[in-house]
Amino acid sequence: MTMHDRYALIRAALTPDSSITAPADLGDAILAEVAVTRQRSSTPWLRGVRWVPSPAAAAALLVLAAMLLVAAIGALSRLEAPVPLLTTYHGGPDRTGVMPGPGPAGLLRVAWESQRNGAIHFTVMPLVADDLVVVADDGGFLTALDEATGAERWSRQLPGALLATPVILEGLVVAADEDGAIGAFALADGSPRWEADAGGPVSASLSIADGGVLISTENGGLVLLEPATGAERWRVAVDGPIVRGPAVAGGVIFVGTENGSLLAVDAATQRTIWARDDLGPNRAGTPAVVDGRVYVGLGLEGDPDPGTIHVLDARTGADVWSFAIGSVEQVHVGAVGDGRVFGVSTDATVIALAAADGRVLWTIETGSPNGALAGLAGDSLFVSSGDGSIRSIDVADGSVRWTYEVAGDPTIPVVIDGRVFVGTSRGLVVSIAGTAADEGT
Amino acid sequence: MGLIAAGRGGAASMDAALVARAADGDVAAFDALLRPRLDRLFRMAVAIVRSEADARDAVQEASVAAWRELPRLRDRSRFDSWLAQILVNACRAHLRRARRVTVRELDLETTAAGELPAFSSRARSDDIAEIELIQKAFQRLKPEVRSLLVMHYVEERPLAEIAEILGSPVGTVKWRLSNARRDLDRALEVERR
Repeated sequence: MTMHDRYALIRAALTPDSSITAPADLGDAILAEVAVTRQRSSTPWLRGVRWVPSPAAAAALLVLAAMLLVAAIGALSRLEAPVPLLTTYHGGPDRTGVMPGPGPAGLLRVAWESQRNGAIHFTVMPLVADDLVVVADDGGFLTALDEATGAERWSRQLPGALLATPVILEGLVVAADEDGAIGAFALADGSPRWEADAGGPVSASLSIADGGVLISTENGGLVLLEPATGAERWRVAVDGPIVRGPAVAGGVIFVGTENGSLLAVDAATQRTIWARDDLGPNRAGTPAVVDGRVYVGLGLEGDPDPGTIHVLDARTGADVWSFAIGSVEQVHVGAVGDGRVFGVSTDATVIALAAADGRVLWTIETGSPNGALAGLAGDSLFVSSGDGSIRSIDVADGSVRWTYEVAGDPTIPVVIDGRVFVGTSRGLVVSIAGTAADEGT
Repeated sequence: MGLIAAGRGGAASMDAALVARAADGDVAAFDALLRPRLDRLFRMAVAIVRSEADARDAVQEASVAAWRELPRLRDRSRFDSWLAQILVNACRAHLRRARRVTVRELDLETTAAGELPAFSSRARSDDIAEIELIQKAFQRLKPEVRSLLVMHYVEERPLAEIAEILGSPVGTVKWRLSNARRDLDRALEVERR
């Protein structure tokens, strides 16, 4: 069979007969639904302006507008800038996993999928800002997708694989590759702004500290860069490789090393406030800092001791409580919020503990290792599992509200605007929506 | 073949005006934009989901989604490829929902032959058996593979246009199309057993 013959056969097999046309009533049915569906618009006040004022009225309007503008400027100057959300790994610099939400409601559907150029590692979370979803893959590509449709807006490539979640601040996306090459690009259009070098391999997620870009290296470096220029503000060496993203809260950087130590470093002075080197050989996971406490998973990478969630006083580093999951698998602090700590484990369990004292509230099995941290939105915990399952779990009792399957090993679920966004090990970015959340939100 | 191109001369400017008015909330303009495209949208959906009933749902869902999101379409000259992208996603979603209802993906759509939509009668009689095998093999394929094969073989869209619809680089689309053909070959091997 020639190629032409094969092409013709496939075409003949897949092409609907010419007699097949749209049902006669389909157009009217669509029109009826469209007529009661609200459009999304970012500038509703610009639509349908038809009134043309008289000169006197126009002058009065101008004076009024000027007065309102002066008042608004005054009011705005007294407001604090909102804390960025979903612009860094795991919900924010404090790494609590709290997401803006809401999650999807109603019948679930894939709103869109986008195939990227490389795998998206399960520790590399998509970021969402300015109607864009920003993803990083192991092909070195940093890509911005339209949040609503998944269409690619721009894509830039760094020299090496991107294994660390980038960070968004001051209109820039900053990413670092596996060899330590750092690139900053305009969020709006991806235009390159500056380049830098971390001085070591980077696999820990980037963060924000003291208004700068915080980068951690596998050769034990903590580096703070000026966001506008990429100039190095300071660099310190810690006692071991950093492969888990640090948490930042109250001007303090909380970072664990592969040597088993956990440090608290003042972001302004680089002074080590406290250091715990007696927690290991239990290597520490990504910490979360909430209400003056540091929550961290210990016992990673096949250590002989059981996986443990350990809680320390953020100010002094003193132990508060500790909970062992009863297996030698890894346990990570999936999320902390509303008086609860949620542990996600590679032994396929999700466990809820009281944040005050570590009492077990509930435990569920997911049937597959849970290696990615979780997302917490409202009264739902969103968990990704290695078999491609994404679950929405009621935080009160652990009941599973829904399960959705994607192709590949998914990242932390990003929960915002009635959608869940994940990247997967097959290079897919998936937007999961719900019919109820799509209407009128 | 393929959806109406965002074309040339008078037709293009008329479409551009309709897109602008529809993005501004003009339902009648959206209706005028959509109706001439409905047959081709429907046929594309039938080719992917292999069911006229499901294709109807997918087209309706995609059309309403397009209406809702149209104000966010920045480059309005891309309306047709953008609409195709939404339809492809809607078709994939339908196929996935159907998959979750059945036990295994390979059991998907084991409907009697009489329930499947009629397909092209242009083939020679001695090719009919092979065509039926291809159709059965196609049923085994994942949604994203189906949609890619339909855009290439049925819609005969250029790779650059498929890349625009999928939001992927052309090189990635070439690679995915090559994999899609291999997937179809493997599914055919299963059908021949």
